[in-house]
Amino acid sequence: MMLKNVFISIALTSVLSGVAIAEDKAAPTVEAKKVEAKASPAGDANADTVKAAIDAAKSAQKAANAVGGEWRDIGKFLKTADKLASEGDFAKAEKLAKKAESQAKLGKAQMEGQSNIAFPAFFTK
Amino acid sequence: MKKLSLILGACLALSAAFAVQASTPAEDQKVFQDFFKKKFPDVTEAEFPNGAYAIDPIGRVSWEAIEEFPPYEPVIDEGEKMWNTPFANGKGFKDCFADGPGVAAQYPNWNKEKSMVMTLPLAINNCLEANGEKALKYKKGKINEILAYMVYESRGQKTNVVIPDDPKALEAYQQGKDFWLAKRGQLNMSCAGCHSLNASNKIRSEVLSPAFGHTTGFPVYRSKWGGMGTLHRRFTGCNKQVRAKPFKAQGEEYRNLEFFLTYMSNGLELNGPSARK
Repeated sequence: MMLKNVFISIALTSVLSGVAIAEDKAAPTVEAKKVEAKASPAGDANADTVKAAIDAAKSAQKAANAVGGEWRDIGKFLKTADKLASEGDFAKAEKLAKKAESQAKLGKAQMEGQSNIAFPAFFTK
Repeated sequence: MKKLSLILGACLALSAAFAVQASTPAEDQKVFQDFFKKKFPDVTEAEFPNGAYAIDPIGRVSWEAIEEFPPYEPVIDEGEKMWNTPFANGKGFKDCFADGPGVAAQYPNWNKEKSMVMTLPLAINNCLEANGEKALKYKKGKINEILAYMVYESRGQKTNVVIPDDPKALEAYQQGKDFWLAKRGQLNMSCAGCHSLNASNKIRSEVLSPAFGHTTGFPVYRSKWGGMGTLHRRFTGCNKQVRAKPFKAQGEEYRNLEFFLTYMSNGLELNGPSARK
């Protein structure tokens, strides 16, 4: 009876540690997660893709500025993207450049159509 | 035939809609001033130039205490010195401003010759440059000294901007009006949104001031700045707060905005320089 209990305990311990090992293998380490985050979502970012993203953002920034619709932080984002790219952090640089481009497009769309504006209705109610 | 009448009907409806939008500056001014007088029936016309302190009794107590020893007083004295100090060529500000320093009520005005809005800071720098002196920066620093003195000498005069019947002046006015009404920046907010319908409401801990009277007190000593600033410095700050890229001080955008906004306050007394939080 005693021997049977010992045998069962050993078997259970082996199974559980086996599961734990298997889980460890499947779960990425904290460091791996960091690397993954750095590489994602622009996993294939490199100097060329970053340059293209920054150029596109600068062009969108110019278009937004032409209609007076540039948002405050676009210039700052692009400056930081340039710096990150020069340091080799292409994924972050590309992400930031895309954010700048998106804001520039939104700023341009926001200003378009806002001319010859009349006072809102609440002024006369 | 039915299609034709539908098209004609649509055209008429559209033209009627546009007719509603096309208002004259005088009509705009009436709508604007009536709105604020109706929104704040207890605020007299003489009080609107005091901004938020006309509608915020708690803020007013602090402001009145500050005004007992005005932080802008030494700045006025410095401005008087500037006014009386001759330029290197022997001439001075009095040679540019023949009517003396108290001419703030004449600005902004439409300069037909240059086909642009002329503001007092711009006229000051034009004077300096025409006499071989270096132009002053438009937001901080010494521009506020000479402005404070000239505006102080203009106290009590009434705002009296004239929008001439000149297509270019009307275009500048409309651009200023569009600027004031347009939503901008990442926060999608307009000058009008905060300072008309929401005037007297709080944005964080601050009471939003009514736009009627916004231009009468500049330059101001602002506690937040720890110093003096021009109207265009304030415009810059507002734009940054809504996360829009600010425009150049004394550039066309802000000059046209000043043209519109000051015209809206016609009839109100100049009370600058003043102190604000």
